[in-house]
Amino acid sequence: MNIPNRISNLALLGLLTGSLWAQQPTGREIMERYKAQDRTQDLSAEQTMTLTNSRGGERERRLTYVTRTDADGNRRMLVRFLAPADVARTGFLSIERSDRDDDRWLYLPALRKTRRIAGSDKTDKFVGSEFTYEDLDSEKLDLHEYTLIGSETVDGVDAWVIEAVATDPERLEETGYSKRELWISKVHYLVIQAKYYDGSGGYVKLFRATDIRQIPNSEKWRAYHMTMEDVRKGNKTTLQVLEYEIDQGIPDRYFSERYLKRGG
Amino acid sequence: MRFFEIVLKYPKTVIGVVLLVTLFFGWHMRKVELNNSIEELLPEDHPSVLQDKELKHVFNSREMILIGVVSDDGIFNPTTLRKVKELTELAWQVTVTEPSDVRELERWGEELGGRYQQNIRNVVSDGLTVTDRGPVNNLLIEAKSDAGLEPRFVSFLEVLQLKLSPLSDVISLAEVDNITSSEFGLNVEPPMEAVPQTDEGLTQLAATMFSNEMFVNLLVSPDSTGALILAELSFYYDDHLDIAEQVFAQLEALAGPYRGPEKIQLAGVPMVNVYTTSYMSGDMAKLTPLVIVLVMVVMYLSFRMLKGVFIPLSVVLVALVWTLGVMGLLGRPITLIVAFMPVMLIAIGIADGIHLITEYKLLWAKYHDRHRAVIGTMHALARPVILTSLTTMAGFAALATSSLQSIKDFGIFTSVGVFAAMVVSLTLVPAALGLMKPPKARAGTVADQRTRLTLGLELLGNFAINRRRWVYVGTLALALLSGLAMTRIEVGSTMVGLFKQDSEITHASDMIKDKFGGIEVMNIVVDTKIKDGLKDPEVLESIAALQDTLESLGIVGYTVSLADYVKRTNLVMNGNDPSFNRLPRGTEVVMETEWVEQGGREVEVERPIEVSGRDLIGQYVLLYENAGGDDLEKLADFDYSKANIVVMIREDYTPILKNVMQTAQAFTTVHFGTDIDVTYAGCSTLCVVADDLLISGQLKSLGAAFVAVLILLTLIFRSVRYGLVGLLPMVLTVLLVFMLLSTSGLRLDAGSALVASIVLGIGVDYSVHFLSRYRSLRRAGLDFRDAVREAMATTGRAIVFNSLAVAIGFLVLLLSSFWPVIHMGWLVAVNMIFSAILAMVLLPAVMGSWKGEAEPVAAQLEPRIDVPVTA
Repeated sequence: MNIPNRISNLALLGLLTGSLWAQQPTGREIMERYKAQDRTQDLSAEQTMTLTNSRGGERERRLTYVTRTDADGNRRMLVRFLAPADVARTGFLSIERSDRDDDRWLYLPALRKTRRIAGSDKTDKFVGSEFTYEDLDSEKLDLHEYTLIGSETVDGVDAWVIEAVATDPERLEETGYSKRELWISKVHYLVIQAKYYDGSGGYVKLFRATDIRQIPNSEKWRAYHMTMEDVRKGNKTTLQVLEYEIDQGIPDRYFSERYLKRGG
Repeated sequence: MRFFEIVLKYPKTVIGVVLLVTLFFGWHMRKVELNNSIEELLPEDHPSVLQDKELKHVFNSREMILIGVVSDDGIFNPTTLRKVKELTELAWQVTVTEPSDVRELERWGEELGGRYQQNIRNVVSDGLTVTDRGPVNNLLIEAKSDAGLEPRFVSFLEVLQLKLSPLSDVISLAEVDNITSSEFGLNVEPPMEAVPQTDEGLTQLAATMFSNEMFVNLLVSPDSTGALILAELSFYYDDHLDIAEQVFAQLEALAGPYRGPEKIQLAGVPMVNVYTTSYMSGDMAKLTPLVIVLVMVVMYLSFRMLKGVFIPLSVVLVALVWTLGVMGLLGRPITLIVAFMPVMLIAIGIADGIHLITEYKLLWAKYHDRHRAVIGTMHALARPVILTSLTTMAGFAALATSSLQSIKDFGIFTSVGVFAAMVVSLTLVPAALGLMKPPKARAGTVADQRTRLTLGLELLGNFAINRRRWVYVGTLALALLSGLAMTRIEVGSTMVGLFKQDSEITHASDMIKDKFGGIEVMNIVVDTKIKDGLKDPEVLESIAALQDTLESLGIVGYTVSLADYVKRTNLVMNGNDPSFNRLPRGTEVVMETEWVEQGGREVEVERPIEVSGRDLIGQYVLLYENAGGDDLEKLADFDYSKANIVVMIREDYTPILKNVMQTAQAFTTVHFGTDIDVTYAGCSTLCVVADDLLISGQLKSLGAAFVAVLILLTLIFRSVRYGLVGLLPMVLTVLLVFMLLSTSGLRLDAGSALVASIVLGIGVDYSVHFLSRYRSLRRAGLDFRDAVREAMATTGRAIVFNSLAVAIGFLVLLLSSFWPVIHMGWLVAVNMIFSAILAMVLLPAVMGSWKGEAEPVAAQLEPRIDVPVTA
């Protein structure tokens, strides 16, 4: 069978099963819809972050964060602690870079000083939570390969199950995961569950997103309750979002060392 | 005594039943494990044990294996550093799976089928290797969530996962978080990521290591000739001793090729335990057969017949199997103290058999009738066998009052063994004698001839009676001297110092204590009882001051706490200004820059403001958490209310450890408010607690033993007076034990503490034998002088042989690998002889004064025979 012939055969098959194609998009197609749903110019939120460990210990923090995604899909993020009192106004600024390591600064109000954090790593834990900086990055469709591996209902929500594997050599260098499995809600095009696998293929973390609502006055769906659990150690981080605001026209200069120091 | 008639009628059935019981216990014997951890010694519900468990849980801490790399020319050269780096990396890769694990996993795959089988096939396709950590973890997570699955599969996987990743953390200068700051910003990374090849790089690395106080004495020796790799087990050492042993073997194998010129040694508390266990198995394998052979030789020499050897031997061996079977059934492990129970049981238990065979030979010579001889033997000896077994059991069972589990076990199981020996002596022995051919009659040989020994004993008895005032004065003097000597006895034990051999672990421990902070860990837990209480600058200041106080002791080589991390961060965040190498104070002054409009331009102005030190600490801690370091997890609990101060001590001798603890206690009572609880945990603390319990337990169990023996003696003789008289030689013997202990400069430890109880348990038999014989002679109408002479000639002789046999049995312990056991061996041997002599001198002397009413005072059941007073 020559190639043109094969294509025509496939085309024929495609015509015959056209309806099926419509129901079974590719992993990439699903991720593109997800991306479109996820995309905002900027987003800010206030949330409580509760860290629990397997031995019943608990730490609670309240913080706000503001993110802005640039044309390349790189994210800038400024985090500011509100509570507990001893860390109030402590700030973290991170700027994702395509061409080099991300830039990160921190501001300690008790010292009135900002410090650049050198040698930062995508696999570092974000303020001691179970989320790494990598988990907070925007999804880079071109750096991964997405395969649709099934369809499942999670907490009553119908979802596509996508396997995401980094293909970009640089990304492979910096990622902490050999693969991720993403459950994308067929209704909201939002990640409602994710499983993370470490370098040796071991399942290490489980992400769950519930309480999905539309942000007031927008088309965007967001989860207001999220957990990230280290399934080996049993440690867990719970995020409870009080409020989301999007597309307020936050300027780039907001994500600067000077703002980090000032804005507190 | 119809019982023995029945035994003789169905000897094969009796032997069959004994054999079946022995098979039953033999089957359970296989479950007995060796275990030497300090936790096994202490009672599970002791406050210190609970605190230690709590500490391990709250601070997620497990035992450490220390790998010391020492190069006399200094470690800061590319070759040595490469070795440290490679060993660190290789340690991470250690797995200890065995081919049997692969087979078992495959078997589970076949049994479960489906998805499990497929996943398992993928896992085992290339054996079980380090790359299977992830997939096996996935299998475990899946199996755990699968409710219908066999729990055994889950527990198998849990163990398998440990075998694949037995180490949870490996720290060295190539793998430790070091927070630094430079013009590029804050950095948290290991001091050595790549091995420096240039002199400049090497100097730089050395400077980095020495600039962080937390590394000196821990990861690098102050003289830069040593580097340490710390490997933390991913499980509690106690729960999986076998896995731990394999991990050590693997690490040892890893270190092998890297040795020379660098010295590489493995140490740490788990290592000491592994060596203890291995020497202990060696001892048991060596000493038990040896004592058997020795006892066989002694018996053959005294009986000159093989039956005389095998019957008593089978008694002790069967009793031993029963005892170990009971231990297996109860799930009790063999500890260092219990390990010498077999040797002791053989030495003690053989006595019954010896007495029975002696009597049987005597009666055979008399009657030349097997049935009559056996029945006669049993009639004559059943009572003494039962009585002496009971008194010996009482002596050992009193050890059950000790709080130390291992001593408790030793007492209980030795009692069980003595009981088993008694049961076997009363069943197997008559049955076997009834079945066997009678001995070749050598008439006259066993008749009670007046030998030189009996003559001597008679003279001794006579001397004691005539010179009883001397005996009393001598006894009193001995008692006083012993009492005086007792006050000088030092209590103390060591773990590393246990070994007689110049072993690897002694070298390793010496190296670690010479070069680094030491191998003994004491944990001081400071509980503020308030969330974030540790962020109080005053609390941290007190903790740091406590560390300084302890480090000034010299014997403390290293301490670390949350305070050190905060101090380090303070230095780094203030641009490495040495004046900030301290903890934040209650209020700190910092410079705030502000943008102010000046002449139409915004300019930066600095002005000083006051900030709270508490906020500063809170923010430093957050900074550390953000950097991803799990280090703090070991030093502070999750809500920062409890701190763990890790104190490393160079010696493991308990009085030294106790001194460290008392210094800390004295400091905390003064400097820590009443709102703060301070508790002590860690291996060192447990050792100190064990020592304290040892003394109190020893006094308690000795007291209990005396009371129990007195009650038994009183019941046996139905006379309080006889009871007291019988106890007298034992009181003296025990006093002598302590005098000997003190004058030989030995310390009271778990081994020597047992000597008094052992000597009491065995030696009381001599009083029983002597007094029984004496009283029955008196009742038979002999006057006290004749009764003593006769008792000395017959019972005295048996006492001499018995004490010599026990002493010889215990002398075998001199070949042990452990100092406490060696000391115990000769102390028991010497004191057994003392005990025999005391019984044979004191009892005749007392009888010289008291004459010994032949009639019990309390019981009126027996006919009263008045003995005329002649003296």
